[in-house]
Amino acid sequence: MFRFVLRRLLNVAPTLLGISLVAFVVADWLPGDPIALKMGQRGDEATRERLRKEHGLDASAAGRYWRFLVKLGHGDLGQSIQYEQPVLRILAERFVPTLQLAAGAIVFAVIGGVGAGLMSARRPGSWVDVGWTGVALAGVSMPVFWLGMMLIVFVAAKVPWLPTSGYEPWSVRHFLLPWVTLGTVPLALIARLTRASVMEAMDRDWARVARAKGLGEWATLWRYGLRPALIPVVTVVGGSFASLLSGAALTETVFDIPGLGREVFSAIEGRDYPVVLGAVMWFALTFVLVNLAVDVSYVFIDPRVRLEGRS
Amino acid sequence: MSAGVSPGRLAWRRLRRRPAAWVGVVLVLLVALPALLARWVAPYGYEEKFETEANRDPSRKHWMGLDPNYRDNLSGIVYGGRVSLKVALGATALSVLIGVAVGGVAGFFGGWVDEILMRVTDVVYAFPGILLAVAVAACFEAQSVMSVCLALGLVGWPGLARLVRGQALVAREEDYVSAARALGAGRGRILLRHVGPNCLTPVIVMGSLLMAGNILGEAGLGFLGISAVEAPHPSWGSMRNGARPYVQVGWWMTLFPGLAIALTTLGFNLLGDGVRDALDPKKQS
Repeated sequence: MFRFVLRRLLNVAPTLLGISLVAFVVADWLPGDPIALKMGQRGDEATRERLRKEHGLDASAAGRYWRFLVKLGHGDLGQSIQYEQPVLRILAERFVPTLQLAAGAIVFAVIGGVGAGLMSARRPGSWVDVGWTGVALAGVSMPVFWLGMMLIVFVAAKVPWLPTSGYEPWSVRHFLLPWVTLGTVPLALIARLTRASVMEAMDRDWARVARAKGLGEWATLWRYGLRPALIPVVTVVGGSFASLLSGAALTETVFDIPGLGREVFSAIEGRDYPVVLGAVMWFALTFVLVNLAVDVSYVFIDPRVRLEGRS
Repeated sequence: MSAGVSPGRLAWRRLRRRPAAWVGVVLVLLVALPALLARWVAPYGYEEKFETEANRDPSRKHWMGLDPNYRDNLSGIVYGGRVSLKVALGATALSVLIGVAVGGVAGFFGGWVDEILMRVTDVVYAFPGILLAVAVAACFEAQSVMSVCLALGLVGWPGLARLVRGQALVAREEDYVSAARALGAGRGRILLRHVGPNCLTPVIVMGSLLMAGNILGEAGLGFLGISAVEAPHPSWGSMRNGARPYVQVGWWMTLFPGLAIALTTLGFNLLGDGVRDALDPKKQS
């Protein structure tokens, strides 16, 4: 397995390099000067020139990209222009709320999605099934931030102990609505996939035998329906989690959570290139690592899977 | 299956029995027709202001209330649909164009061309979509229908490229291609007459799902303040964004444009799913 993980990580390196290049080129294309945006009307030309030099903005694009790569090799992502702080520190700080948000949302999505999928698969075509299918369809069709705003207006404003927005580090109260908001799309995806995979498994002989021998309905569903269905479900859970980590900018904005997604958005607006580049690399890395973890988890889910054999 | 019935006709028969797909068609028409006929359908002109109204709540005169600028909300939604649909159509067309070209070339030629193109696809795929779209849009001094189309279109194609590549890889090895080649058909004829039609349906399905994604994407960008402004009608996304500070006082200003977005997205999702199910040979009845 270690060889598999190592080979996968090596395989990822060129992709990460490509991502950094695309991010750099796009960032370089953006019109606007980060120093001017930072200083506004203040400061004289000399200070600006000095700052420009300090951040290496006077070099050519190729030179700057090369410097970025060299620093990256040393585990350094450079200095933020807006904050005058190491990019790594900003990333670490802002990632905490995003991680809390995404982790809670995926837990909500897994519990709700697997539960809904099982309920639907138990009685395909019943009103429970039709109802959950409708919920799942509505879930993937709603704009995420709109759901968040509607929850604020129609739920948070009516429930006294629910805050409408804002962030407190470990306050579950503050996270309840953001979790529901961010978790709805993955919940819908997980529910649809669980339903389809479990129904397929329940059609197989092993499930029929289990039922014929008198095993209870839910026990059959759980052990002979869900277990064989786990691999696709885990895959979609992993993929959703990876995309939540990088795609929470809208939810963070609605609920005023100082997460990484919102930070990158304001970094793009302020042309804070080091932060944008660093965050994009960070997102890509988490994306890759989560997907790798999903692949490795197959070994534990299904003993027949051999990672060595696949490239 | 009786002899002499073409696969297309069989698929059509299955599609006819899928109510979900028809609900999708109805939903899409429900949005697209008023948007196309906005001038005749909208209850008021878009620019008309009603500053003398006592409040902006929904009333018999204004079913969906007034927007932050005292204009009729329903008329705004009808007109806004034009911009939203235009953006989504343009972005989808761009994504389909890039996706089919990249995937088709990669799958049909294989080898190092395939290797390079798929690496590029992986790179774009691993990017956080909304942020890449924001960055592309920020390259323009001012936002327009064009810039938002580009932003969404340049982000949305990797999934389609992978799908088309898979189709092309399979099609290359199919018996009917060998048969056509044996009959002396040239490369162009094989691509257009044999491989193309067989890859077409998944592309239509994916296009429908992309439309859904792009309607949502436009709304998301609008929410972040990047909106296709085409005077004088703002799109749904920017309507919602304009109403943001008013969400506590005037829920209708946010609720209705959001509903329009959700119903359109739902329509395209249902349509895409329905066509896919109808064309899935595994589900032949």
